[in-house]
Amino acid sequence: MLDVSRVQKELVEIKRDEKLSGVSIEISEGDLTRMRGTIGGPHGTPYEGGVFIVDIQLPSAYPFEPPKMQFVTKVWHPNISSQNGAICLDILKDQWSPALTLKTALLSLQALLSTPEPDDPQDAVVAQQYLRDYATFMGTARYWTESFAKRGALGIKEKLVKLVEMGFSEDTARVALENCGGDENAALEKLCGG
Amino acid sequence: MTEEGKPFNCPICLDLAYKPVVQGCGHMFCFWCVHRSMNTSTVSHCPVCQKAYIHQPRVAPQLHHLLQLIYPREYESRALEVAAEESDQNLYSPAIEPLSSSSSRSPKTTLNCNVCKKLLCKPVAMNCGHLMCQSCAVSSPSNTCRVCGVYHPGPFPLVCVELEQYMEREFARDHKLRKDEVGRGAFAGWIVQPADDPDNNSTVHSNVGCDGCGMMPILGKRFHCLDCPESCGYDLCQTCYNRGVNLPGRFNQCHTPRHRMEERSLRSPWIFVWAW
Ligand SMILES: [Zn+2]
Ligand SMILES: [Zn+2]
Ligand SMILES: [Zn+2]
Ligand SMILES: [Zn+2]
Ligand SMILES: [Zn+2]
Ligand SMILES: [Zn+2]
Repeated sequence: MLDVSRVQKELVEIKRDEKLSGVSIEISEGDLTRMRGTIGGPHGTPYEGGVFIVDIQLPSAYPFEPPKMQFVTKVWHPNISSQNGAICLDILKDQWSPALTLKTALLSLQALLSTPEPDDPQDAVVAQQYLRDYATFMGTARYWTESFAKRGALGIKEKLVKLVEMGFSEDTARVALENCGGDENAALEKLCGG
Repeated sequence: MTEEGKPFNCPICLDLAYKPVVQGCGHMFCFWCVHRSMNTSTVSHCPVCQKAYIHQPRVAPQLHHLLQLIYPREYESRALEVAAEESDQNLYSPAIEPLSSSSSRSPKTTLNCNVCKKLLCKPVAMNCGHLMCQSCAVSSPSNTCRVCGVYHPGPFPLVCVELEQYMEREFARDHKLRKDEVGRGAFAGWIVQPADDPDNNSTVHSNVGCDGCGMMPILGKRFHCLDCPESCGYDLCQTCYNRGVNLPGRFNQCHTPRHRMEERSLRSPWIFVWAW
């Protein structure tokens, strides 16, 4: 049986402090077992400026069992599946403790974005790239942030269309955008300069 | 101060701790919260500091009384809440004797050491629920409560920092006097004395806890009461059986020394390996 009183206390605490912490939670339609968390991409990382949505499911034994969390927003990171958003993080598995909360779990995900652990990967392809070609990894991670984790900003497709309209070929435009982490002005400079 | 950091809030239910239990590491939780968070088939870990343990300590009556005195309304509403859950599940937490004459009791007088009878200084809780100064807990033989003589499993108990900080805030002067008196040195503690059963690490009785020392799962031999009518049963580990422990059960079972106990064996190849 879910400890409703505890979950409500957690939600109040997250709300109280969401500006400072950079993480927040919304409940879906009054169902306390289904939630959406949001995490601000940490500064100084290729995820900066992005807003990442995490699907949260509470098992009935919560908090004695960990919450199930999965990224809804696509993210390029060694410990997060680029296919389905599954997360490899010990506190969401055997290192969970009932003294941890949804807030501390989301903050741990935020910390995971800052400090990937490619030696214990969830996505082997991303981890390989991180270890062998760090520069490309950074470019792709930024590109994915631009493409999938930014609201309001021009989507990557529109940017591509814009560059193609300026007369660049779609392939070169895409490569330029990827190399600049989706920054269209930087990509344009590169296309013109090179 | 945040809601989470409120003094005497349980880190598991995030509410005022009800029937507080202090682990050997000094962290405090509700009786039910510890029980629910324990692993029933292997070692458990403190939710806060991850220290390994397999015994659920008894409720510390003094802390129960303290919280009753300092948060009367909140504690009472917790009591009602928990009582409703308990009758739903037909499983009860231990009854705790009320304060003798509540009119003469103050938070400070409830916090005397059970050994030296003075205000607690660097308080620790024994597995039996008795509170004492850490310096008063050094016992001979080791691993024994100096008040009731009951076996205390595991390493020398650590200070309950939450209680220590409360006393520092609320009774600053007396607390300082006591600290000067006791001195600031560390204690040698004790060398862990193993429990009685030499085969302690051989058999695991999953989902069964000892009603004496709170060990769960029971390791080694298990003794089951044939006469306790409660559905949760009454069981003892080898150590508690040998020492003739006849405490009331952890869930308030009305066990008496006249009840017949029988060894229950388990044909299971499980090997349980662990260290303090
Ligand atoms: Zn609790
Ligand atoms: Zn602890
Ligand atoms: Zn003392
Ligand atoms: Zn005792
Ligand atoms: Zn026992
Ligand atoms: Zn009995």
